[in-house]
Amino acid sequence: MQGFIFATKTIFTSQLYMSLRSVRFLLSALLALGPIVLSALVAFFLGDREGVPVPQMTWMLIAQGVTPLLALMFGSAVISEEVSDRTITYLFTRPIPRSAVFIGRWLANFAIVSALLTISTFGSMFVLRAYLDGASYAESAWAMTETVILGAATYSALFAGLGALVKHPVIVGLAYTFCFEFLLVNAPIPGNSQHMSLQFHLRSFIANSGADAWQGLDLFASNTLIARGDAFAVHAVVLLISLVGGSLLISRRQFELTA
Amino acid sequence: MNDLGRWYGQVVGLNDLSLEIGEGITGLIGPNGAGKSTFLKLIAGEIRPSRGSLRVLGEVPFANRALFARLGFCPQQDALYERMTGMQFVSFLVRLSGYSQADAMKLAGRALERVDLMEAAHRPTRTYSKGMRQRVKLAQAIAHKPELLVVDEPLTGLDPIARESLTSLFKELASEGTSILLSSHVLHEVESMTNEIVLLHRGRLLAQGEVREVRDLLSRHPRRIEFSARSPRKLAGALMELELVSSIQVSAEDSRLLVETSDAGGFFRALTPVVASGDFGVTSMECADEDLESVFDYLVT
Repeated sequence: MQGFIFATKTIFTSQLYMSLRSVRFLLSALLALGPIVLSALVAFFLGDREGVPVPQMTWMLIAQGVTPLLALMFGSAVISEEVSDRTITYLFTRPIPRSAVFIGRWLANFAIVSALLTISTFGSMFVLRAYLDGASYAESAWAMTETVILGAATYSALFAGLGALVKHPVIVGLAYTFCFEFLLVNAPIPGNSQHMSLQFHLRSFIANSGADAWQGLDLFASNTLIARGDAFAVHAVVLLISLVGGSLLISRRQFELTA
Repeated sequence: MNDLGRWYGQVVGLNDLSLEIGEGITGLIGPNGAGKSTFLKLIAGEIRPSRGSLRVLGEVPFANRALFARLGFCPQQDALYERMTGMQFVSFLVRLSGYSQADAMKLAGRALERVDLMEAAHRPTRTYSKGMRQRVKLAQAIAHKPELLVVDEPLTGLDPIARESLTSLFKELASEGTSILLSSHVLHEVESMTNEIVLLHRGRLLAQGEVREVRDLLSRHPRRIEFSARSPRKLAGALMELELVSSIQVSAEDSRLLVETSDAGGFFRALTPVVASGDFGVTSMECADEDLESVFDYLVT
């Protein structure tokens, strides 16, 4: 266990160093700034008009757009980047558990995504604070931040696990997030089908956070939202399965790298 | 290893390989596609055999952490962490062998010095030349002082000075007690480092032993030698006198001569006085099938 922690920490540090100097980071920083810029434009053009569904708009933009996209960019890279760069050989011929490579790299990427989402959320909410219908800015922003961080953890772990399983996790991840989940959670499909999406549980998590701004977030939900604790538990289970599954897969898989 | 086999779908990487490799430097020779890299990846525990068994330093290698602490692997692929400096690259990988930051830096520094890369140690690896990249790859493999060093095509793409320097380094490491297994498709490269070679061809073991024994095999290989001369017909007449010549083809248009001999060594010994005795105007001479591929093809048929 001590060896695992040491290796995870070492890989986490180096991955953080490398990720912060990558083109991916620059792109993702621009992506994270997107909601702030859009919010500023909305505020500028709206002036002091009332009745604008600012929380729903912010939710769509950050929780349903930027969060899964950032999680996909960084989560899918956890293993596939090492494979495509052909550097995984160096890590897999060191006396460390292979799972430490998976967890260390995922933690570093998750930390970056979380930081970017926090900036994105607080920034957007600050710009749109006048449209929160009297709800507290800090309370709303905090509730949103903890929700998107939960979402980022689950999505990125899911995509990281996917990266240990398939060759092109980005394509599969895009299809899952922006076709399957997006349709499922936004279309008025009867029954409990929305329960199959991570978004539904994120929506339940924030709507029951106690922050006033997010009370009406069941606007598009055709299913009744579930309790906050239950929503958190579902995410925790998916997160755990993804991390354990990814670690197990990577421990057994043989990677064929060409010269 | 015993009855070792490894295939990729329908493609055979290695087949029926049974051999034992001892201490010192062992050269793994074979043309491209012979299975050298597959063999080394199996030894370095990167992949598992499809059939048979394999032990390295007494251990089953695949994902074996106990073995990896005693092994250094320098892969063939030209891949580095491009955003790291040479020092960061080596020290990061040494740290993963369980060393503290300070010890890892010390060991990385020593390894970079040994491969003569200390001056560029603080430059990002993306700025390195081919030779420097090869050397930093080697530095990460030797920094933690492994008992066994596995190196895939270490001299490919290097200039003669860099080759000489790495060759000396391998000899030095071997004299310090490190066992080295290295691959190459050029026999004379390996010959300058060791006598012990393993010959692979199309995934099979062709021969194992001292270079001299393999050289004997090679000298019995019929060779074709191409000459360019001002008087090709005159030269052909002189060469026909030699018993070792099997056939001669003369192309008067471009003054070329293609000679086939059953004993290349004997032919070359007899050639010098013949060429020196007459005015044939020989301007060039080269072996038409010197490459290992054709030699291996001969040996397996």
